[in-house]
Amino acid sequence: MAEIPYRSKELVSELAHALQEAAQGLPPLSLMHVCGTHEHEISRHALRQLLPKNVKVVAGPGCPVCITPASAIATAIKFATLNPPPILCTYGDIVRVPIGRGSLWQTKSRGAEVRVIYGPRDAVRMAEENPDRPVVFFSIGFETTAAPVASLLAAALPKNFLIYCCHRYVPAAVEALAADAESPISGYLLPGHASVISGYQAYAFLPERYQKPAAVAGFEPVDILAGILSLVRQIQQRRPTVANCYPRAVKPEGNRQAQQILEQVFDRSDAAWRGIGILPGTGLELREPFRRWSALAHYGLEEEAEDDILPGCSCHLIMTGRRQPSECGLFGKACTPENPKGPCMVGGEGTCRAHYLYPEPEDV
Amino acid sequence: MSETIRLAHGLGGRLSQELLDQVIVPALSATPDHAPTLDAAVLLDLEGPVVVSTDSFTVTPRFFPGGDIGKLAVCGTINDLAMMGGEPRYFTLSLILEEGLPLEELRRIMNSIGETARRAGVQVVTGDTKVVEKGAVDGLYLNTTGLGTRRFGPVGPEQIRAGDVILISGTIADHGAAILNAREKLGFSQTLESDCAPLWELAAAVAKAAGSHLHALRDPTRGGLSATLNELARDSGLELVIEEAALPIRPEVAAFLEILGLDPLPIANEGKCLLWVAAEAVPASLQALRQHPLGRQAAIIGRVEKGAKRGRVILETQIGTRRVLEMPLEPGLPRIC
Repeated sequence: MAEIPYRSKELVSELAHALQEAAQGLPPLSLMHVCGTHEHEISRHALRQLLPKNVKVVAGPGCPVCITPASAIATAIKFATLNPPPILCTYGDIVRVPIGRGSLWQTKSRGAEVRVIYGPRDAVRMAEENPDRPVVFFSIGFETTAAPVASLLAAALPKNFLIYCCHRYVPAAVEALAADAESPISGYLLPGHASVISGYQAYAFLPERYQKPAAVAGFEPVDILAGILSLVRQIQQRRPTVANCYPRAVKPEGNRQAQQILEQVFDRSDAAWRGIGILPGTGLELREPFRRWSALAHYGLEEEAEDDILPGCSCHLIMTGRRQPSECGLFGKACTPENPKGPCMVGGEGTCRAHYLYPEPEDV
Repeated sequence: MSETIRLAHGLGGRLSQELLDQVIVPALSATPDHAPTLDAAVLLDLEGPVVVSTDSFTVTPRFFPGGDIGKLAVCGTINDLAMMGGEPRYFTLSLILEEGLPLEELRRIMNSIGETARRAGVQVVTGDTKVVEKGAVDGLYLNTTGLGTRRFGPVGPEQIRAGDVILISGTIADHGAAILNAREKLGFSQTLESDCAPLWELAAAVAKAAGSHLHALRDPTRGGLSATLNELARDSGLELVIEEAALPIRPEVAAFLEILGLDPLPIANEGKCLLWVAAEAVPASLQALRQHPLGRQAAIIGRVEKGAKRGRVILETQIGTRRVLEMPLEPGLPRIC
């Protein structure tokens, strides 16, 4: 394999050693990351094997596909089945997420026009190539994907382009989690990508209001271990702060230009996270001049009602770090990547899928 | 002659004969004994034990850096025989053509089949051509059956022993990466090339060097190393331990897959083989591999253990942790062969 410095065995081993030392004598710690890519990389590199016995890293609601409420998927299905039908385009993973009434994939297999795209520009191109038909872009994701969408909406768009927005803002969600007095989480590993946009100062509330340590981390083994080490040291020294362990990408103030365009296009609102409930200030709603692109407004529709969690599924507990995939009765049996029962088994950022794909041997 | 394939080309009449005479037969340089125009062939000189293998080829795109569907079909057939110790001698060739396929494209593919077969010393002895309506297949599909004589062995998962060393003849993931780049028009460097190649000579060279210490060979095609290693672990009932850091990979392939967020382990090769060799024969085997042009980057990548749990593959990651290497989940890359 090509030598990648951030995967150096020596550096990793030094960090793991430092982590063992820092954690000595501390009570059991539960640290939460809020990024699906963190979970994927932690599992792929089997990083949990290097953690001290008293340090646990759990996954929070960091997978944008997983946290998209069932009502939003139901509404997207509604759009796809209107008569006459628009072209509905969205990302591959969300198409396969199951809800009570099926999935967008099943809707497509019954003849609806659901097209998979790789980025928001593809949706605009699809509208340009099909000028006679409305094109509804079902747009999901955190500030990382909301920012490029905002810049598209602020520019010229084809008349037949419509958007159904379900974007969510991460810092407000982390605050909602930290505000829970019963939360067992001792520190937060902050998402590298999303923090490129928001900046790490956006998380200053963690040490200031909740006395919780925080560290922004990148996605290579060395980045992730450095972030965990920072959290454990902050706990050991009782000096919570927001540490930047990903300085090659993340700035304190973030990307001002991206923030401005987000601010220009979206208003923050209270919004639902699948199985978790309404989290204040986490929604991104289209502001007035941009509502003319709203698919809901165009068709005069309300969002559909739909249950978030199917019977037996533990995704809501897994996304809040209260249960591990292996503790779910469906995991690996009734629920597999080929036949997912909950959103966490579907996409590349889902916790259950990562645990299924990259199991650690019981006898390490 | 018309410029595209028509349904009449497959009806057995005058146009069919023209297609055979002008495009198919010349490319295959038939000998009088074995004219590929015949419906059946008698093979007087094929010694036993006979090794036989059949395969179909549907890759898209049909032309890609490093090869095309024709070369792929010949190499794939040869390699399936070679992995069983079979020296490839003859093969059959069935063409299923889509109405409207440019004749020039068929000519290029036939020439590629002929050229690859000639170089590898194998011969088409019988064949068939069908034409189907536009849309019924994508351009053309090929089916081959290869025949050869077993020159070494038996080799296979049942011969693998705890203590065996696992070698690979070269870099991983080349074919899958090249196809993905070509098909999705991702526009990465054209140095991403399929490794499509016939492996009989290489396999024979290792067999000569290792003798009965060569226990098994397998080419990691669809599903890459992940699939092939899991199959051999299951069929041998042993545990295979792979060192991630030891896997040879071309830097451009590694970078390409890294950018797309793809793990190279489930990505296909078409010109590499994995070898299971008894420890005492490892130096001789490695030397034999590295002396062959297709094996210059051969490497030791793992070992066979009795294992706590039978039939599984353990990956020792490059950072020093261990995890189970699972079968690839869904087909990440449709129609790569």
